[in-house]
Amino acid sequence: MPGNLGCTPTEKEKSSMNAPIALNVENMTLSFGGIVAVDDLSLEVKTGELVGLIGPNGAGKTTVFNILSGIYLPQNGNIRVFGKPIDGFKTHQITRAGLVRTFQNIRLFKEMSVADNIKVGFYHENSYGLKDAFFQTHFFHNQETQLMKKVHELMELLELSAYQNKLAKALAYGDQKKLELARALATGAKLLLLDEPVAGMNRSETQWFMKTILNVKQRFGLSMLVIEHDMHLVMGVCERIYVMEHGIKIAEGSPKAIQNDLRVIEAYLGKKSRA
Amino acid sequence: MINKIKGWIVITAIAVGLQMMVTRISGYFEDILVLAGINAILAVSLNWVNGLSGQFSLGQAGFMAIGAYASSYVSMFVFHSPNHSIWGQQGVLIFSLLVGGGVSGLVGYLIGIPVLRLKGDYLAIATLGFLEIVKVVLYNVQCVGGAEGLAGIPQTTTPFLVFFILGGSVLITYRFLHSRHGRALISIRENEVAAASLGIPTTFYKVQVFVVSAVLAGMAGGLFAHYLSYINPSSFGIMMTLEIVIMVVLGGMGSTSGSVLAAFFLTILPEALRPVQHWTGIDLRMVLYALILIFVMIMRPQGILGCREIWDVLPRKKKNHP
Amino acid sequence: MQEFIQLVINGAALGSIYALIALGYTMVYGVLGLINFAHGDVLMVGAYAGLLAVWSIHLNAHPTLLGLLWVFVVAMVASSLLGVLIERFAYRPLRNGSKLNLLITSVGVSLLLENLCQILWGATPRVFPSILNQEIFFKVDHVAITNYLVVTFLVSVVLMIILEWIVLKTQLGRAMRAISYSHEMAMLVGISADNIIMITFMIGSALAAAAGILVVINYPQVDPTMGLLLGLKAFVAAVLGGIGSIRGAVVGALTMGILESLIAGYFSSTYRDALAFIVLILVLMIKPSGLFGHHQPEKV
Repeated sequence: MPGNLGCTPTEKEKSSMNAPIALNVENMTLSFGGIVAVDDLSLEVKTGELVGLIGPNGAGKTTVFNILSGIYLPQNGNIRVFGKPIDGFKTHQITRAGLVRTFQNIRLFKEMSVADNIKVGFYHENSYGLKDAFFQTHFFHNQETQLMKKVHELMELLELSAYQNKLAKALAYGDQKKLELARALATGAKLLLLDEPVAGMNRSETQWFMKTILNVKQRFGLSMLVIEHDMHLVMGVCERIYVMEHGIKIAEGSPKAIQNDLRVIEAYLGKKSRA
Repeated sequence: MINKIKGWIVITAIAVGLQMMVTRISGYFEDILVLAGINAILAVSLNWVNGLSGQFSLGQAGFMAIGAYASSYVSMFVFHSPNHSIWGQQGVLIFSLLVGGGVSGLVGYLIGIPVLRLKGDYLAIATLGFLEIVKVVLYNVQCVGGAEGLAGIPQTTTPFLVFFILGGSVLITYRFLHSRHGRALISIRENEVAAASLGIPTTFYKVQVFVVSAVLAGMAGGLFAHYLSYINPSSFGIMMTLEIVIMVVLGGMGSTSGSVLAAFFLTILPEALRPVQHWTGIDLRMVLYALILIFVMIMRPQGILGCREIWDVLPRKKKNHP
Repeated sequence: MQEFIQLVINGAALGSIYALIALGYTMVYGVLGLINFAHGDVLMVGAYAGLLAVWSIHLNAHPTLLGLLWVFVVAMVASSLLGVLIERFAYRPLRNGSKLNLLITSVGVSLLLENLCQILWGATPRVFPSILNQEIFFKVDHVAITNYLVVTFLVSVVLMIILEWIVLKTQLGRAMRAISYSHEMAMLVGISADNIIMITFMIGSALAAAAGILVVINYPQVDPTMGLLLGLKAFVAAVLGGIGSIRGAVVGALTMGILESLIAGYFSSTYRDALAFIVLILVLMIKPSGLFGHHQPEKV
């Protein structure tokens, strides 16, 4: 498979245009020793769509992400990414199939520089082997130079250029979140799973970040599934929303429909209480 | 063309220089320097696993033993007629080192696939188990001498070859780290889950690094055998592994230059302390090693250099990176 | 068949010695998450202390039951003191660091103990005087039960019952179990982690010393590296049973002892030492949590 460029439309993107469904999950079930974390869940994300996944704490949202990214193996269910079944795939194979995720608790490569963090994301961009590295061939130098250009483009896009040589652990919280996004974009995957992208950010940071997300979505032709607790944001940007509670999907629909759904209100506020 | 092999030329020149220097001084210093060089190769090899990939292996002496036995077997029984010309001798030695490294790497591959599914302390104990199994097998294989070991291995290891291989392994390590493969490996050490989620084949890299490490340790074992001309299974016990571990820990896990420096320091130190030892009549070497290990862990667990390299720490001209 | 039964009985005796050592590994792993590499060396020091105890009352001239008890007590007290010292000065400063650093430190402690003993006593093995006249206690057909086997079973069963009682029925045991769940939570409810961890090391080290004395009664020599292989095998037993589980350690140790005895009896004793590690690698491959352990998936 040729390396798919992060910044220009590629074969892969064209083929994903033909398959209208970016993510298709059918009857996914996972239980941990008697506790059913995800129960018979079905959902789908159409190509180019931004879908929200919400629910109270402990509803199983992050578990869904962990299954989709191959960290947990579900007992049951079919998952297709851009039409391709990914059952039994390892995490890195799923990423190659076009699905990449971010983490709720940021997982950067702390002792590596910002540029190197992004370069790791571009891993499949280059194809030179060990021999080229050991003898520093022209091929090696050319590919590394090309790579650096792409890294600069991404850093510029996400306003990270100033920190290029800084270690990832030295970044401010908001910048760490940006770096994690940049790294995910670098993989060239067209389906992005964002786990609480703006948690812990203030109003203006949140607004900047959401604008950026919409911007890159447009620019790279991405499809997205987003876990987020910030209702204002979810209702504002998501085209469709799934609501989970205790591992079960209790509602789906447009933001408007979800806001008026009795079961959703009960899930969040309890049956009688007034928040 | 010259640019492409510039690094290798420099290493060859240094190795030639050291060879000429060493042969002019006494045999005693030659012994110490050559053994320090071999230890440094071992430390660099273990640093690949314990420092760069963030695993923890205690089996390095096992790979060293495999390399030592395989290469000795080749130079003793495959080329039985003794070769008197220096080029012939070196040719045979290089070939047997490659075989030793290759066999060791193959074993590393076969062991690595199952064992590297483990992490941290479990991996440490499992690799220690591997070391014990290697020893039991060597004790029971009569064609390599069993418990008596192998004697009369041609004494063909030269300082040049030791320092060339050492220099080569440092250069390879450095260039590996500054390539996409090295970045992938470090990302696995930093956060395995995140690395996998960015499309890095984590298992592939962990096994690959284990193999590289085994090859280097196997070649060091071959050099060791062809220097001492006598080996037996108990030469490659847990003490040998621990000595290598101490070098890597002291130098800083993840620092190649640190491992090399620590290897030289820890090989030369006991020799420098010989008068004290003579005076007190106590073998202080291992006690000292043990104390170093404990104190480094308590005072400076990242080792002397941490993950950095000596050239990152020393003041220098502005970097002109390609 | 008779030979088989004899081998199994001998193996069970060996296994109960392994169990005493394995319990120390499992308990320390429970409270600290550390594979205490120096545990076997604590056993070795206990054996040397036992040797001193023998000399102190000239027991070798005429073995008595009281004398035997004295040797056990001295060895166990000496080892528990050593265990406390190691915990206090080597492990406590690193308790909040990475587990790997703790493991490396315990490797260092192991090296230190072995080499200090080597300086004090020399590298050559010392003969451990006979403190128990080995004779056949009773015999069923051709299966002989020596008084050594009786002592071994008696000592280990009594110690294990005491341990079980401490862990399950006393306030101390509850505190130990609480700490193995979470240091922070245990401290929040007023348990002193320092004290409990110290006592855990004391108990574990005392058990190892008892095992050490049982070993040297049968193989009458002590040397500075005797603890290494014994310790590793007992560790394998603990992993086989599921590290962290007390019952598991006992079952794993008995299994290991019997297997070793059978292999040494029917094949060759040179392969006996490799067995432990083959078992270890197999267990870790197939069911890393062992027979009685629980596997916890990594939190993402």
